[in-house]
Amino acid sequence: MTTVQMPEAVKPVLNNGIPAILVTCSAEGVPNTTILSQVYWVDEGHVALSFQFFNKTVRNVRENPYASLCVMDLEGYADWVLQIRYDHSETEGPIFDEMEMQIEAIASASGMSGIFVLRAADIYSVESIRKIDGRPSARV
Amino acid sequence: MAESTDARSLRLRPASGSPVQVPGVLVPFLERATTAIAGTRDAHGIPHVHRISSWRLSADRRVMTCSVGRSFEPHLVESLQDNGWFTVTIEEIGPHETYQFKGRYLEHGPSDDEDREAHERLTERFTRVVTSHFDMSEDACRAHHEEPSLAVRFEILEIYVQTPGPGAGRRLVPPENVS
Repeated sequence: MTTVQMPEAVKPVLNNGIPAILVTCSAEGVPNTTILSQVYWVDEGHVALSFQFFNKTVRNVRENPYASLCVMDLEGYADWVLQIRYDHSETEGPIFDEMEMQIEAIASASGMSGIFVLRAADIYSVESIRKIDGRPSARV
Repeated sequence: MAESTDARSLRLRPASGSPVQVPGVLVPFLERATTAIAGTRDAHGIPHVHRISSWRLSADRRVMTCSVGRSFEPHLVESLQDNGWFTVTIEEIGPHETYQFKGRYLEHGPSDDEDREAHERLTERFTRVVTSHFDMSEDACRAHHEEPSLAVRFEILEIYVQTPGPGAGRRLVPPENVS
């Protein structure tokens, strides 16, 4: 398992409030695509994703730990695609507490209070990262 | 990275099942939704994400055509040709109404005029909605969905509700009591 270091430029993108996209895959090989309300910067090599419901994503990463994550920097005209690997879950402690507070703020701002409830902070190691420059001039 | 997957614990199978028809009630949703992202997985069980630049439904509502820009082509065709799985989650930003369509790859090819027209309509909807809900510039919104370059046709096998909430993940078609 190889963990890469994320550039500091990714940190504000994780906190910009724009939902992220996560693709996982079951043990049988069926992919699943879902929208996440929060990705949390743990350190240069790890992110935490919010586990709010007992859903397909949670089941998948416990069967097959690999996932592909896309976070968006609309104003920076860029997407970041991270290949990540599920490591462990935390149900208490500073990461959980910080994510719980942010989840409540996001829920409140989007009219979802009472629906978004953090069950765990799922910690992933970052195995690769790719920036996609979305400026029209960069795509020529 | 792919080589590090513990293939012994995976029982990978290709896409299979009977095609279904998208319910008529979802057709207006597909015409008003504002963003979409697709997922595939490769021969090693590694998932890959692909931003969708446009989508459209066949007249019989059984086949969907999704296009991607060049930036999201990596791993796409080789994954589809390996196992056939293609999944796309489509959302209407604002009300958060979201559905996931899972299906079996049929074919791919260069994007055509229909894809480009669908992309233009999507860009208009996305820009209108996002600039009204968030403090985002119109130029940034217009650049968000890349010009389509490659189109993938797939037949729909399953549809799931993914609107946030406890019901997210429920299979809509075929109904969950039907195997």
